[in-house]
Amino acid sequence: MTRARVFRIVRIVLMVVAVAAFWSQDVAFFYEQF
Amino acid sequence: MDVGTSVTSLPFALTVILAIVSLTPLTSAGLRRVVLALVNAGFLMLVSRRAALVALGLLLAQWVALQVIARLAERALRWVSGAALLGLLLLFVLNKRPELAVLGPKPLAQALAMIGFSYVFLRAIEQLRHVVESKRAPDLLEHINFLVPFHMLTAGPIQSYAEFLKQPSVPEPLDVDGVLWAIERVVWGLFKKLVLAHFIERLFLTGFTGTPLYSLLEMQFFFLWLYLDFSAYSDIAIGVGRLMGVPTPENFRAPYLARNLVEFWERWHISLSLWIRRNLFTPIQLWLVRRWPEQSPLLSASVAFGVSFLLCGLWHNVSIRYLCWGAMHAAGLVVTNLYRDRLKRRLGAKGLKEYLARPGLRVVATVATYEYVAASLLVIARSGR
Repeated sequence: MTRARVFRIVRIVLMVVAVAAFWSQDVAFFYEQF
Repeated sequence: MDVGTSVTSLPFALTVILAIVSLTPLTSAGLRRVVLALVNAGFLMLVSRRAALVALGLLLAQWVALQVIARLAERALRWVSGAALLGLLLLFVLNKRPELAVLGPKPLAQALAMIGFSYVFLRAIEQLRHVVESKRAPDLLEHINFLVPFHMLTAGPIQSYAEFLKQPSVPEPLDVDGVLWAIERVVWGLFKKLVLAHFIERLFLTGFTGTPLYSLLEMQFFFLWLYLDFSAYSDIAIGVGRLMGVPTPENFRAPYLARNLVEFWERWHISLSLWIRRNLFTPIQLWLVRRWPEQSPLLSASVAFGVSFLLCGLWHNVSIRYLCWGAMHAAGLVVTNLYRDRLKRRLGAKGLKEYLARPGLRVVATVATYEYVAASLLVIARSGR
């Protein structure tokens, strides 16, 4: 597997995790800090 | 934007999966068109069966009208196509000002809202123009697939009718990198909308209820938020389109790098600016040049910019605020055009190129463009998004 393909998969996974976290409101506490 | 047809809704996600699974194995052009039309109509049914039936009824009536228009002689053609245009305009006004629903049944207003009629309206106008000019009527599948593509329904992009007709009936199969590229585009769109835009909204946007000084700061973030939220829809549509094998045009190209308003509209909501160029600016300019051939081309371009962007403002919303927004952009475009012409006459083509290449000037022009567009958004955003 090429390096570019690996980086792309890593970027996708990271963004999916971030979207899932924000969407599920699990980071609601984060807003409280501000 | 209607929640039911939103790219983050369950019906949208289900339709994307259904579309990819059902379209990918198909190698017959005819069958692909049928399945795509069923997917597009099915998406509407999934959102609201009642509103979908009304919307599909409208599409059918419009298709019948186009069949008639394509067969008419020149004199009758002018009247009937004018009536069709008027009909589309009435539906548009009803969609933008639903309180006028007393003029028509409520389900009609609901159906228009569901299909995001603003974008369907632009596609319908272009299709009508094409049928009038070419005398070629679309078949029903082509009609549905062009007017209500489910992945471009909520917020575009607006595919040109000529491009739609030229697109390959059976796309090249995607390799692994193509699939990954498309998935990344969709996920990037979701990330922009649900994380970045959401984050900015929660932290900085108040609906311009703060002090005047904070409003100036909020204006910067509002423009950023708008880009992230709006371009996210395009990213998702482009990615989904690639996975389904349906060509979907790019809509944004680093708009914050624009150094003037002409360049801004070549980078922001590109499919809308191209629509304006094809269907408003160029026809108006040509008409003016033919009618008053002795007039300066700069004057006709200025008038064409003015009319096009006032109408563009009204397309966003039928209100004074949006008319002012359109006027600000029209004024910016006219001034840019006149200034560029003046510079060219004073410095010559080579001198102008050297002048524009100055890095300091580029920075100042880019910041000024950002602030001007942000200020134009303040005009419409103060009353709420």
